Amino acid sequence: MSAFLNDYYLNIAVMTCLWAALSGAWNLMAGYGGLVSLGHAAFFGIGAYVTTIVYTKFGLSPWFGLLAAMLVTPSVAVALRWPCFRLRGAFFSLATLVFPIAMEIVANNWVELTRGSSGIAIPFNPGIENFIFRSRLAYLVAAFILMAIVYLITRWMHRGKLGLYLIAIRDDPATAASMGIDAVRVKLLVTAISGALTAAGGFFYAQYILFLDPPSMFSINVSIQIALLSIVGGLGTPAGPIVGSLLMTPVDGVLSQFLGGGPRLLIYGIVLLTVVLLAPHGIVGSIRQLRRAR
Amino acid sequence: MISILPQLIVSGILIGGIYALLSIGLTLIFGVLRIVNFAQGEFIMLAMFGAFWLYQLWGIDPYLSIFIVAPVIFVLGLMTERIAIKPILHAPHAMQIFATFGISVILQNLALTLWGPDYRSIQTAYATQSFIVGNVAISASSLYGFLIALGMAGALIGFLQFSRHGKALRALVQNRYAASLMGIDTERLNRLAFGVGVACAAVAGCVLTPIYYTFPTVGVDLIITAFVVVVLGGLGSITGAIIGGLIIGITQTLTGFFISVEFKDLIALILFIAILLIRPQGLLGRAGMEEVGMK
Repeated sequence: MSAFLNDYYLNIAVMTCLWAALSGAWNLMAGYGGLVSLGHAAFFGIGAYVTTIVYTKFGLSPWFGLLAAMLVTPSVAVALRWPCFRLRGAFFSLATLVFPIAMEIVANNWVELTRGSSGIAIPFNPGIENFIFRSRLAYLVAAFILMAIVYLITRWMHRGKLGLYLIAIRDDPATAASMGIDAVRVKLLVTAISGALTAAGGFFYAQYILFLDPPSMFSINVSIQIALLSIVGGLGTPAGPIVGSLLMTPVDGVLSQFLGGGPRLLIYGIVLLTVVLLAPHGIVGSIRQLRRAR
Repeated sequence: MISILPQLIVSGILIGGIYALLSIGLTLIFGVLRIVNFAQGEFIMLAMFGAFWLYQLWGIDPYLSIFIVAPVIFVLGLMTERIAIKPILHAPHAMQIFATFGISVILQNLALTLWGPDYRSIQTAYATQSFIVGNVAISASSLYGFLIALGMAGALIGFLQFSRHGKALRALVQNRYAASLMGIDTERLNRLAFGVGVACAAVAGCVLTPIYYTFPTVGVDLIITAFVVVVLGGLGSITGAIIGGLIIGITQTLTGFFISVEFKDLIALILFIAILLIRPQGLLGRAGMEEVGMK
């Protein structure tokens, strides 16, 4: 094997694809609908937990877990977010901040299902039916497929009716309503899609890391990272999350080797604020603007 | 069980006063700048560390340190407004959220880098003191905290009601455009509102130091409670924030005792969803305020 394919670099490549997919799922809501979620860790965690519980507790293949996660998570997402659609802008975001915290409390206390704070370790039984692989290359292929699916859905939305409806609702809800767009239905639909894709990311993460516990699955850091990549790459563009992840995830891999959580997140915060203040359209948006100016 | 009830309600009211103070700062900043300050909790955290170190290094009483910490945080607030808030006042709301959220991440992890993740607390002479009224014991530091919070809230209401700047601020809340036509310097007042808003958080932080743990992520717990209070009381309403604070304080002490400490935060979430479903404008908010969002 060449040096490029060793485990260290493969891991970074897997993570780059996974984070691009998660951030892309978030981008559907935030970039197009203006529904800026600061609690996507909730969906990520629910996806991972549902998969793992179905697998370790009921002995069913994680593929069924994935199916369950992709049904349960959007339902939870819709149920939790429905009342929040009454809130606009930052108030919606503040409300979403609460969900991962609530989920962490639930996961910590529902011990018979989640084993509480001791976490669940997934036994290493490689095989396609268990979605556990010996080679990281297989994970990389899977992560890449996930990222491609998210990208294609975003592209389809970007040009299609749903995306246009969302943008219309985001920019002018009154006019959108007068055109006959059912705002609540469109928002719920995009929440369900985003929730299902984020759950798929959670499923992948659980089967890759093979261990999950409440503080790491529902961490605010997960929500921050998901949002940060899209903002750096370009909010509301299909390629934005991928560009953001290509740039940030490898850097993060290097940073986490040398720095602890505090300084690392401090750098994240500074990057976030700098991008927001100086290049609010992100990398993809800025390039597009430069092209247009020419 | 029933005999403990008055005790729990009194404790709830005392902590509720401090919640009210936290929420007033948030409400003021939102009312004037139309920005939700996600970093409010981090200003509380900085104030708590300030009070903690002043006590630890020089033995300055946390209540006295209000006079040092609050002005410092006030100036920090002015600087923050200048650097990070003013440029994004007219940006799309996603950017507004991430500007204040970015400040929050920076301050939190700055504290984590400088002081580590440890939970710290100070032992004042009056920490174990309490006053007994009937069969209710009132902890001295909670009572002092409550009284200071109430005093600060009163001073703020007085300032907004009677002073020239206060009146200008209220005019801005009502109608920005008309206010600027009347010759009100909106930029200066934005900065003032942000400074005063975070100074409220600083006072709350100082009075919390003797009764709570000080650690870098303390702001996250507090800001969520403060937000629930603000939604409950009604966005933009200061009286609403006070009543909301007391209700949340009492609810939390009751659930903490009768159900479990873990569910204290969960109950706040349930309450929060219930308010949004039943009365989205809050107890004292004008109908439609929750719709205003970032417009």
